[in-house]
Amino acid sequence: MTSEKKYYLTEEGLVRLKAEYRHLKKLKSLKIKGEFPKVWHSEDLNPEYLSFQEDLNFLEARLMELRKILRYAKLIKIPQKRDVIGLGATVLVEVDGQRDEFTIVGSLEANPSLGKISNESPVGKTLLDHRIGEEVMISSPIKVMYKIKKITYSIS
Amino acid sequence: MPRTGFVWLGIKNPETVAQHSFRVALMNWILAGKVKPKLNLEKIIKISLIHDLCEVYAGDMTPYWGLLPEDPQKRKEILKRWIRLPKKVKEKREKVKFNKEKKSLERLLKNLQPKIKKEIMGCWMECEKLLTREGRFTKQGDKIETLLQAIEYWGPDLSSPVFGWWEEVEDLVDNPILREFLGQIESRFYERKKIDRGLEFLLKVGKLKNMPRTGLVLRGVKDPATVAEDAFLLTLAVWVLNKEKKLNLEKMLKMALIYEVSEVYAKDQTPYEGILPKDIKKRRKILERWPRFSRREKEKRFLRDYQSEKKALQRLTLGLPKNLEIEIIGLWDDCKRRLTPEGNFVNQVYWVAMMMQVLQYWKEDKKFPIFGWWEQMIEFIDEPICLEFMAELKKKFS
Repeated sequence: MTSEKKYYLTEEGLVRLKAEYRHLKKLKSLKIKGEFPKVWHSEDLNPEYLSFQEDLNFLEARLMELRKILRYAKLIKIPQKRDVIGLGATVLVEVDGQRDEFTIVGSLEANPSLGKISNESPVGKTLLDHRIGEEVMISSPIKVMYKIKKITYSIS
Repeated sequence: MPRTGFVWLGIKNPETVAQHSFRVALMNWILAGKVKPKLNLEKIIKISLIHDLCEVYAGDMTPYWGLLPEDPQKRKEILKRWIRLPKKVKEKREKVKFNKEKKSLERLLKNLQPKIKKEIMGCWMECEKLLTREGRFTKQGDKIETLLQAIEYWGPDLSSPVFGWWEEVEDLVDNPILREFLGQIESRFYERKKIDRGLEFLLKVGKLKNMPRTGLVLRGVKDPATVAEDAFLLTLAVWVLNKEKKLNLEKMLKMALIYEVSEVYAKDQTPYEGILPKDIKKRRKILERWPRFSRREKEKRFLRDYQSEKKALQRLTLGLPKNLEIEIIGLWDDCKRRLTPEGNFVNQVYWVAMMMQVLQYWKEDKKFPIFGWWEQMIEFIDEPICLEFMAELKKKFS
């Protein structure tokens, strides 16, 4: 049996993806009902039809992906061990004497500019399972030391 | 690489091939969207991006190559008019130019994977040999963009070299949408009566050709890349690095092209905004490392930049056809906030493309502070293709 990739999401992220799925499904049904070009007469491919087909293909691809994500979605919950870095943890670290803070989230919700780091980024991946007080060396592709100062969980 | 024609005509710091290609791509996308029956916009953007890549080794071979005298004054006189030659001579010269450029492009592409190599070569041939509707449209748009740039340099004065470019487009351009656009250029610059919003948009975006990247200026780079050059590099990188068929490439190419156009009005913000002291030594010290903030502070800074860029983008796109205005703002928002897989991908390619850029500055001057960029990369990147590319960069530049 092959193990499917899990998609870690916060409640908010899950709601957003469900809404996107509903919207795209509705769009697809509208496209099929209303925009399908009528018969093309020559043997040349009708560009209108091609463009329509392209749109529909991407729509279908995204719908398939969303179905897969929603099927294998795993909601990020506050863990029992709150002194260990897991998904959803907001981590206060010290790097070269400076304090930095971010939350570790799943890849689908990451936006480092907003302080949300992916669990699949070199920093996110390496920090997982570490505890307060530990010093963690990130060495891909450069070496940077992260000292873990504080771990908090506040995901609803 | 500055454009040869403008250098010969004495323009100081003329536009580069990358800056030109950026606006050709943006202009062709916007104008091609109006053509019926529909053109393949993804193809139009791709051809626009690579139409001059052959110049990397062949140089910018203008239609005047081999025909200009040494004397600068005589040279300028000839350049003021479009070159007229017998058909046979034209064909012979075209063949020489084509072979030299094809060889140059093949040399440039030789290390790429066969599939993308074939695709780029195919796009170039479509434009060079005018094989398809998309190729013909792009070629015509390419010449119009150059005319527009010439008017921006010399003004509409027809006793200036602008006349030669008008002659060229009058010979070449037959697409009704592009002819209409030429009419708008004429109205705007010669009759000063009709203001077309699409043309105004492209003229304003043209400012990005001369806008140096703040992050590079802060680090003391002489002759830094401009916003337009970075947009060109990003769009090309998105195309080459996209190996995932499921992603909508047309959407991503558009996203890359417009990702930073808001900087026409908004400031080119760096993550160091508001934290750099006046003291140069202290400033350098801070720039050596990636700046660290609390989560709340990051959100605050993101929101500040987001709002100012969105406002700038709304101002820039105001008056464009509504669907285009909505599309541009939507694409930017998607990429900025990483809302869809496409937005997420382009956002990450943006950073690796920047990394590639700054590594080249670092290679030339080892005092260039590079470590902070790497620190950012290890937090910002999680796409496997981008991580792989990052590792390649590390290998190549260490």
